[in-house]
Amino acid sequence: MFRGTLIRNKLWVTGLLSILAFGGLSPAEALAQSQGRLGDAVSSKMAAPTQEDHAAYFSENRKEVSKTDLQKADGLRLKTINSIKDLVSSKKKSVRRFELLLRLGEIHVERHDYLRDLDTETYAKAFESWSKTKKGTEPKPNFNRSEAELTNAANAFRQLVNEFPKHPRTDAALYSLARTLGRMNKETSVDYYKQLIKSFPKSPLIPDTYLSLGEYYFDKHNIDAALENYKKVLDFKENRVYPFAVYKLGWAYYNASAKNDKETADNYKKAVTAFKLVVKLAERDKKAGKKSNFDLREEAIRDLIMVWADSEEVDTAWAYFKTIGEQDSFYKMLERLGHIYFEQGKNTQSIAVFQRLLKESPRRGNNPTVHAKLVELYDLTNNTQNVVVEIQKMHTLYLGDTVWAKANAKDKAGVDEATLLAENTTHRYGALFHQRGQKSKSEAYLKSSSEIYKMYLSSFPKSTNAYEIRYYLAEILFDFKQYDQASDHYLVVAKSDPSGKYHKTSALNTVAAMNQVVFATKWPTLPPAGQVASPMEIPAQKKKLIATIDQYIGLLPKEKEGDPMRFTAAQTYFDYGHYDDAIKRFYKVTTDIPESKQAKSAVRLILGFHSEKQDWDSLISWSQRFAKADKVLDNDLRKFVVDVLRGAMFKKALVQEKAGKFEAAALAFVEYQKEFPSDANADRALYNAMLNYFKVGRVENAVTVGNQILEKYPKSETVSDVLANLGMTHESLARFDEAASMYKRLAQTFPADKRAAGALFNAAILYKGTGKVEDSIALLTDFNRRWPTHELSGDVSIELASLLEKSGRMVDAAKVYEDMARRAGNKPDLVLLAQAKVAVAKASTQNAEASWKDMEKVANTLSAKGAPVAYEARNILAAGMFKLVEPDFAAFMAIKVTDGAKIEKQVAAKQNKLEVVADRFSKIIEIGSAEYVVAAMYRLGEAHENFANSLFKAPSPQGASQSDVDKFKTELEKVAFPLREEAYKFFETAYKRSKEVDTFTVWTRRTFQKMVDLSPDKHQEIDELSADPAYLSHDVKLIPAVAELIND
Amino acid sequence: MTNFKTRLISGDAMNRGITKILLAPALLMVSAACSTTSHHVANVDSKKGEVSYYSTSDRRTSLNDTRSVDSMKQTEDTLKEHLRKQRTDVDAILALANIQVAKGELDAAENNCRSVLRKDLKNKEAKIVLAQIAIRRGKYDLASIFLTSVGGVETKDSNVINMMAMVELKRGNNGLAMTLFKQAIKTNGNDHAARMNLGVLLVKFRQLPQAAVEFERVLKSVPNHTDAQIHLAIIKSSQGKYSDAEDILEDVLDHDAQNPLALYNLAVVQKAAEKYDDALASLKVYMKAARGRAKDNEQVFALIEDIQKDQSAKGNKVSDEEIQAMASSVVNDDETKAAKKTAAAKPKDADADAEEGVEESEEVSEAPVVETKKEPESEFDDVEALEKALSH
Repeated sequence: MFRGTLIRNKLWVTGLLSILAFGGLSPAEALAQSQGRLGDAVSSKMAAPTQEDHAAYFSENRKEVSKTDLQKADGLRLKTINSIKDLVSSKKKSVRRFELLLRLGEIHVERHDYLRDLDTETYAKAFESWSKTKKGTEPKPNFNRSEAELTNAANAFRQLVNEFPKHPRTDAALYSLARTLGRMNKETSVDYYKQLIKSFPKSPLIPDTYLSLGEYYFDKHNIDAALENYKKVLDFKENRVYPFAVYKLGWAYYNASAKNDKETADNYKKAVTAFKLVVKLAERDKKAGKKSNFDLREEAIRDLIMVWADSEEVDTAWAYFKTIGEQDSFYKMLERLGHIYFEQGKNTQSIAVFQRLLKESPRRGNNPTVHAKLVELYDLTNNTQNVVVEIQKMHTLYLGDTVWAKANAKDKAGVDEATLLAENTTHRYGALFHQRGQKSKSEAYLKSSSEIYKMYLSSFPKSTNAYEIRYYLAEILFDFKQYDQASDHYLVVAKSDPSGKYHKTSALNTVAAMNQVVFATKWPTLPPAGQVASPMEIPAQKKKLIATIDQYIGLLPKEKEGDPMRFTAAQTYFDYGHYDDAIKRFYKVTTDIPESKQAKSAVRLILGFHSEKQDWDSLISWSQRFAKADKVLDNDLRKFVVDVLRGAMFKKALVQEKAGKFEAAALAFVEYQKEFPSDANADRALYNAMLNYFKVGRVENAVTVGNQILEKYPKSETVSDVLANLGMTHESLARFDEAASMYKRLAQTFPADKRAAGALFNAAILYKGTGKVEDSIALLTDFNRRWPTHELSGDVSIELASLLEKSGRMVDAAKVYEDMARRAGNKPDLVLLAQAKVAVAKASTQNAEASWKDMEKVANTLSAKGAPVAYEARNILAAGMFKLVEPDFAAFMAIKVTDGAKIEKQVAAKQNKLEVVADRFSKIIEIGSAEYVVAAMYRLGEAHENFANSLFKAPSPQGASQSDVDKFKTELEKVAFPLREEAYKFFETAYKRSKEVDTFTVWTRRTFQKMVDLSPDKHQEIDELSADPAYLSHDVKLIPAVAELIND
Repeated sequence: MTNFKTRLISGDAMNRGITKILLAPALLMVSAACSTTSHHVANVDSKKGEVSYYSTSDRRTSLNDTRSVDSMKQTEDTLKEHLRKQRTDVDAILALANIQVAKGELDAAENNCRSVLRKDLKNKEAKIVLAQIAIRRGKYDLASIFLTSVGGVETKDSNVINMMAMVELKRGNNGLAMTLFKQAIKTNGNDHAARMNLGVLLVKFRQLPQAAVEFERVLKSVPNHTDAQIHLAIIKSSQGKYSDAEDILEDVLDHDAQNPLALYNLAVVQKAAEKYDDALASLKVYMKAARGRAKDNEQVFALIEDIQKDQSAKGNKVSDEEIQAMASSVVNDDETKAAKKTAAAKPKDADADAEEGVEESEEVSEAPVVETKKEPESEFDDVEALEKALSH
């Protein structure tokens, strides 16, 4: 096997490519290396520097130049190429043609180098992109463009060599041509080298030529020829190519063939020597200020590492590197050695070397790679436990703000790479062990896998791989019955990517895992459902189950699997007495999944709970809400809800009523009726509402509700009570028309009701009070017809007759009185009153005498010994008889004594009339009505006064003498004066009687006036204008505001 | 006539009257049991925690003049302000209703009472006020229903019994009415409304000694009770104590210069004391004031006639022509006004009807006299014509 090393320089493209081809590094890695990031040539898969490396080493203007500048430079090159071509093709031959052609060749070489770099970069990118998916054809490097430039260069050099075989600088032309052809792997290059050596033995390019020849052979794996030519350069110690030639000499020895181990050892020693020389030369050149495209010292040290590693001269290497201050190189050597052991299958040795390396140089930049290798080695040795351990160490040592990371902070790419490596390693072995565990049913693998997965998730939670890894981990944990943890991870997976392939499964398993936990646990016995006094702590596992359910619902709200979960969550809250939360959840079940059986159960549970609590407000509210939830309700449930609502509303009202919250109760009953207007209890509810309104003084509300009953439920059993109540209420509110209407309706609609008679009577009286006399008469008449023997019938008859009298229907009034008298029976006062009324009433229908006889008949009864008091009967009868006498009295008063000649006859007539009248007034006086005693006596006084005056004024007989006239007058005065005295006595007696019976009427006043008139000396005239007896008092409660005003 | 003018111009009655108007006390009476303070304050009974106001539908009294109403308005305003803050204060609402009845604002009072009843169906006080309103409107049957509903005569409330008496009076049951007035007074000796009603009735029925007792009782509690003073003066006049009577009536006029009752009765006293000019001057003021009542006209003119007769008898003649002219003027004026009033009677508000009804109804019945013609409340609006007639 040909050995080689990677010289870390982007210009060493050929070497890079060979590594790509040989070592399996990715183009990305190659590119990274080409950018000088990876510096340790520790891999066993190494390539030796080639002619391209050689070219790069000696090239100019390619190091530390920006792409832009490189591009600009190339542009200039093209311009120059065209210019040269123009010049070269010009008819006029340039004296500088040689230089022009030489330069043309050189520029093409430069362009080759530039374009090759671009081609390499293009390939690297293409490969990196392809490697991500591995889809399609793997990209291949394409150097056609750059190699064309080499061809152009070779052509230019050839032309030069051909045109100028004797030019002073033909050696340069030959060297350039040979070198170009060599880079093109053209064997002819050797010929041109040899031509140069031969033709120009003194040429300063001889060392370069030998070196190039050595390089040509080295690349052709002709180590001996290479050694030969490299060695010839050793004669030119001051030449600039000398160090490089020594360096390549070391490589030649390193690759030199050997017949035995000794020769191999010798070759290694020579190689080591060469490399050590290179180190010295490089140090010397550095001190001398010489510059090259890369540090050959470093390359040499790296190669020393390689050689010592191969030769396993650990101690020697340690001693050397320590001496030159390059301990790190020692560890590179160790790393290299580890790889060699690894390739050789010496896993134990490899592990030991890597462990030593990591232990002794923990801050080395390449340690992550070493660690990854170490992990691989442990896996190869079936040391699963150590795989886990080392992966854990990788996380500990390289991820985050670790000592290693700090030490390598400047190498950001290296740090990032370490992270990537750790992630990849973790991922790889987690998945590997998982796979092995599944296949082999090995618990150890699965456990290791879960541990590695955990590490991965811990360190790379946001990685794209985390999704699957977490799911795998959850699966393992579930299998290990670590449900709690499994649930956590399932949940993370479920939440992380709604479109992920494990989304649905994880969401479900999240709940399933916690459900296993809850299911497997034996829980303390809980109080009966709905009877938890105060919320109990929900066990953490159950809480978590609820949380997972919530998560599931949130993630997959439309999944049927969620239906029972929702109910379970709500039920759990309910079981532990968190009723508010439970109800909310149950309700959500009804709204979110209304058509599910869980929704129906939730409805029943919510209503049942509130019913159990007798929380009628809530029960009503919920029932009403559910009653509208058409999607939830089927026929049975709808009936249930409505029944609950009905019962709750009624009970609520009853409870409030019992608690003395009458207004609230009323409202509740009203609400009940509104909700169930057709319900059998609707009228009862309104009735209750009415009563409750009455209790709180909301009279108008009560009336309104009462009217509702009458309007909407006319056949309700409550109607009679409603009518009675409304009647009384209207009456109390002084709305007598309305009250009468209610009473009337009660009496007429419910004739058998014990209140009917009273109601009818009330209605009549109220109508009377409001001036509706005819209505009142009608009702009173109806009363008498329906209840002739009722205890109120007497009063009814009196009222009726009175109204009939007032309305002038005396006949009718008389009939009533007659009827009343007939029915009064054992009530003598009433009988007499009726009789008196009948007698008086009949006066309008018959002549005075007949009436007088009728009245007198009653008067006789009243005047009889032991007659009832019958005060009213006496007054009525006396008034009636007094009225009946008035025409006779007036007639008496009208009788004048106009003719003295006929005086006896006229006086006799008047006397007769007076007797009749007096007799009747006496009869009236006998009746004993105080007022009419006075009145009758007043009339008697008046009659006597009138008689006296008639006599006093009587004309004398015509033609009578003066003496006869005087005699005539004297005789009359003898009679007249006593009459006047008699009159006064009547007045005086009347006035006294009035005082005696303490009954003062207008007759009293008239009597007094007569006394004044007849005896002015005894009685003072009274002329007065007095006030009306219309005084009212208004008692006002002395509320503070009024008191304050008064005090002011 | 010259004397009339002299009396009007030089006499101090008018001036005094005007002065008195400015100084006039509110016509709120102070009850016996309470500590009487000023005229503006009435009937404060600290024991009962009440203040009592009195009213009458008789516009001729001092209780119903505008000053009295103004005074009550202060209380009314205070109550309204209070009710703006405490809308449901039943006591305040009823207090306001009482004031409104006293002021004759019957609709407003009724509304307030109904509002109270809506809160408390059994509120006795509200029903009592409604009874008062019914009485003021002349709806005695209605009043009777209210009064019966609060217990009627069985109640211990003198106010109720007083109204029952008024109802009976309206029904012509004078005897029963007087009995009830007495019962009201027995129930509450400080019920000056009942006592005044009884006293007035006793005067009408010529039971003057008894009447004097009632008025003196009122005056003992309310010395400046003008109505009691007037009626007491009537009694003193009937007893021949003209000077005392005149002093009393002058005192009344000091407070209420246009009080028709005081003016008429003063004229009667002055006539009796042969102060004919003064008597005619009093009647001149009576006629000029707008508080007289039509139905009193006959009586007034009769008095004038009597005065003139007496004057004539004393040599101070008044020609028949003058009298005839005066009478003719008044009668014509009455007829004109009566006709106008009849024409304007429809439509008419309930209160107006009621007021009219009250006046009709509260007149003591005098069978067989039947009032068939409604007369105007005051017939002395056409002052110029009257003055012309008088000065003829």
